[in-house]
Amino acid sequence: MKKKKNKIIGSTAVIISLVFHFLIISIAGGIIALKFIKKQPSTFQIEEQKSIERRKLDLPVKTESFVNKISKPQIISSKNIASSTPDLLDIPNQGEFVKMAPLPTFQGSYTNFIKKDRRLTFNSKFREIDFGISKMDFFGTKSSAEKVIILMDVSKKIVHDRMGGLEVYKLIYDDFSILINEIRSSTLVNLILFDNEKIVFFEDSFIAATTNNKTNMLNWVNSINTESWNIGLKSDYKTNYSKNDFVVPMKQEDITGWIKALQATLKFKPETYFILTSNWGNTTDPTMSNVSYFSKKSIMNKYLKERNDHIISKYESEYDERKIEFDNLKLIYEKMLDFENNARDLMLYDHKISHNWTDILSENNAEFPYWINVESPISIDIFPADTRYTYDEVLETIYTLIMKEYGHLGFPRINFILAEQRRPKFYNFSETAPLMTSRFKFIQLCRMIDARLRRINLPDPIKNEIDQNFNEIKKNIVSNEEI
Amino acid sequence: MKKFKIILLTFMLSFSSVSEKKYFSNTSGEILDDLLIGFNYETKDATFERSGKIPLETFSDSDKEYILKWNETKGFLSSFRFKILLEKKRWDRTKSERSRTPFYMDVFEEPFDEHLKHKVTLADDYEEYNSISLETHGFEINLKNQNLHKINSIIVESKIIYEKQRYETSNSLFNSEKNQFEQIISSTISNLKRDEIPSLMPGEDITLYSAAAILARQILNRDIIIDQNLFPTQEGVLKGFGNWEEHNRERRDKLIGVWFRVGITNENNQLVWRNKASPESLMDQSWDSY
Repeated sequence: MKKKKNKIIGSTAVIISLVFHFLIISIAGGIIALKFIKKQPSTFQIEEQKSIERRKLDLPVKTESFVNKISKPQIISSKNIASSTPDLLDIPNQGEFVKMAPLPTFQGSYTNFIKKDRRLTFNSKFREIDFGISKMDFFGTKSSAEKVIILMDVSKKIVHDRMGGLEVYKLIYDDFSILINEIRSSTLVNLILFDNEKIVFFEDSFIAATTNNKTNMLNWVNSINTESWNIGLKSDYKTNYSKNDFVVPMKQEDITGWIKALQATLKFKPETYFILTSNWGNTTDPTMSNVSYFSKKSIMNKYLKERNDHIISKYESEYDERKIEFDNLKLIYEKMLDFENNARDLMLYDHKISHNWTDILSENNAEFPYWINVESPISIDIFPADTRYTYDEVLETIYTLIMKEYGHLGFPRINFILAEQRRPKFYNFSETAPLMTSRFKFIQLCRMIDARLRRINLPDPIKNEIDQNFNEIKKNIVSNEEI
Repeated sequence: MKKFKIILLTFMLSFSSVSEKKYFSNTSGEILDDLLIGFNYETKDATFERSGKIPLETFSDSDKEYILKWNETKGFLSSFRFKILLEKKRWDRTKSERSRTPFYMDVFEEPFDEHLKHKVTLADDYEEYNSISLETHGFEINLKNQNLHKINSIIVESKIIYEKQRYETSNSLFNSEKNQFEQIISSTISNLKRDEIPSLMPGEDITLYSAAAILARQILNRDIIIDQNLFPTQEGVLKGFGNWEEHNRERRDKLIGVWFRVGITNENNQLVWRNKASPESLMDQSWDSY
C-alpha cells in the first residue's frame, strides 16, 4: 500500500496536474486583477454629424399666414330685445349651472340585470337624463323639472287699481326674475303671455336657459305693462288647432285665457307648468263673489240680443228713461276720471286703471240706477244655462286636451298662481259654492289633477287722489250744458 | 268549415313564402328561370325550387338586394321570428264630485259695461250632486325581432276606437222637466297614431303606444229635500219652475278597442301589414271604416 502511494507522488501525471492548476489560478487571478484596475477611457473617433437639409414643401397653391386668415369680428344683429339695463339683473355665475349627470340605474335588481334584463333606466318618466333639472319656486309653488313652461296673464285684470295697479306687475316681475335666475342653463324653458284671447310666445320652441336667453326673457316681460295707458298684449300668436268640436266639450272659439295658452303649448310636453292667472273663465262678474265661467260666445251673444230686444219691446218707456240716466252717468264718469288723472299727473303717479267704468263712480258714492229686471225665465228660446259651459265640461276639456298629448306619460305637474282681486268674503257657503268662484274652481281642479295652487298676496288697492262729489259734478255738467 | 279555413290559411302562407319573381340574373348576365323558396342568412345561400341552393354572391346586385328584401319580409311576416304583443293599459284616472244647492243664474249687460252682470236665485228646496270621472285608456304594443337579420323601415299605425256621449240639453233647472233632459247623443271616435321605426336589430324589442282614449262618466242628480206636502216649493220663486221629485242623468263613454297594423315595404315595393286588434272582431271591417 505504501509502495503504491510513493509511486503516485513521484509520477509525471502529478507534475502535469500541478502545472495545469497553477495555470488556471494564474488566469483567474489575471482576470480579477483586470477588472479592478482602472482602465483608460477608450477613445472614439467622432465623426462630424451632417445636418438634415430642411426641404421646402412644394405646394401647388399660394399659402397665406394663419393669422391673416382669421376673419375680423363682425357685428351680429339679434332679433331679441336689447337689454337696456342688463347690469341690474342678478344672474348667477356660470359655475353654478354645472352639475354632473347622474348614472342610470338597473331595471329591477342587479341580479335581474345580469341574468335577464339588461335595460338601463333613468329616474324620470319624461326625461332621458336629469342633467338639466332645476329646482324652481314661483310664488311658493315649487317644482323640479328639466322642461318647464311658464304661462302668465298680462291682461288688465291683473293690474287694475283695485288689484294694486302696476305695482302688482312689478311684484310678479320680481318673483318671475327670481324663478328665472334659479333655472340652470341646461334646463329647457319657454314663456307664454296671454291676455284673454291673445297669446304670445317668447320662442316657438324650448330654449336653453342660458344667461343670454334669461336676460332677454326678463327684458321682454319687463317691456310689457309699463304704462297705465298701454296695458296687455297688442298682437296675437297664430295657432292652428284641430277643429273637432265633439272630442272636447268646449268649442275652440270658446277656449280662451289660460286654457288657450295651455293648449298651445301642450305639444312641447313640459314636465312642469307654472300658470299665473287672474281668473278662471272668460266671463267674470266683478260685482259678485268673483263668479267666473267660460261662456259659449255665439249662444251668449244671441241670448243677450234677444233679451235686450225683449226688454225694449216690453218696457219701452222704462228702457228709454234708464238709457238717458246711464248716458248722463257716463258723462259724470268721464269728468271724474279726468279730474282724478289730472291730480295724479301732479303727483307724478300712474293714471287710474279701471276694471270697469263704474269703479270711480262707486268709489265716490255715486247713485246707480237699477237696470230693468226681467222675470226669469224670459220668453226666449235660450236658457241662461245654455250660454255657459258647466264646470264638468271645462274639466273634461282640460283633461282631454292634456291627456291627448301626454298619453302614457301621465299628467304633468301644474302649479297655479292666482292673482285674484280682494273682495269682502261671503260667509254663506251655500251662496259662494254654487256661484263657483275662480278660487273655488281652481281648488277643485287642483284636487282632481293633483296640482298646486297659491294666491298672490296683493298690495292694497290704489286709493283715489281726490274725493269727488257726485252731485257737484252733475250740477257742473248741467250748468255747462245750459251755457 | 274550420278545417277548410286552416287548409286555406296554410295554402296562403305557403303561397306567400314563394317569391313572385321568376327570372334572376347572375353577375355575367345569365338568366335563371326559377322560383325562390328560401334563403339561409348564415350561409348566404338562396334556395330555388328546381335549381336548389345557389350562393348569394352569384347574383347581380339588384337580385342580391331583391333576395335579401324577400328574406327580410319573410322574417317580418313570421309570427315566431317577429313577435307582436298587445297589452291594454289605463294610463290615468281622476274624479271630481260635489254637492250643492242648484241655482238659476241669469246674465245680462248694462249700458257701457265691459263685464256681464248676473242675478242668482238659489233653489233652496233642492240638492244637486255632480260628479265626473275621467279615465285615459291606451294600448302598448311590443315588437321583438328574433330574426338573425335586422328589419328596416317599420311603420306602426294604430286606431283606438271609443264611443263618446253627450247630453242633448244643457243642465238648466228648467230643462229638468223636459223629456230630453236624460237623452244622450253617441258618436264613435277613432284616434289614429303613426310611428316609424328606422331599424330593429336582431334580438331588439321596442314598445310603442296607441293614441289615448279619454273616457268620461258624468252624473247629475237633483233631488227635492223638503216635504212638498208641508212646504211650498220653488215654483213661486222661479216662475215656470215646476215641481218634480228627482231628476237624474248619466252619460258614460265606452272603449271599443284598438287596431294596430305593423308594416314594411316588401321586395316588390308594396306595403305588407301584420294586424293585431283587441277585440279581433274589429278586423271584420276594413281599416278605413274606422
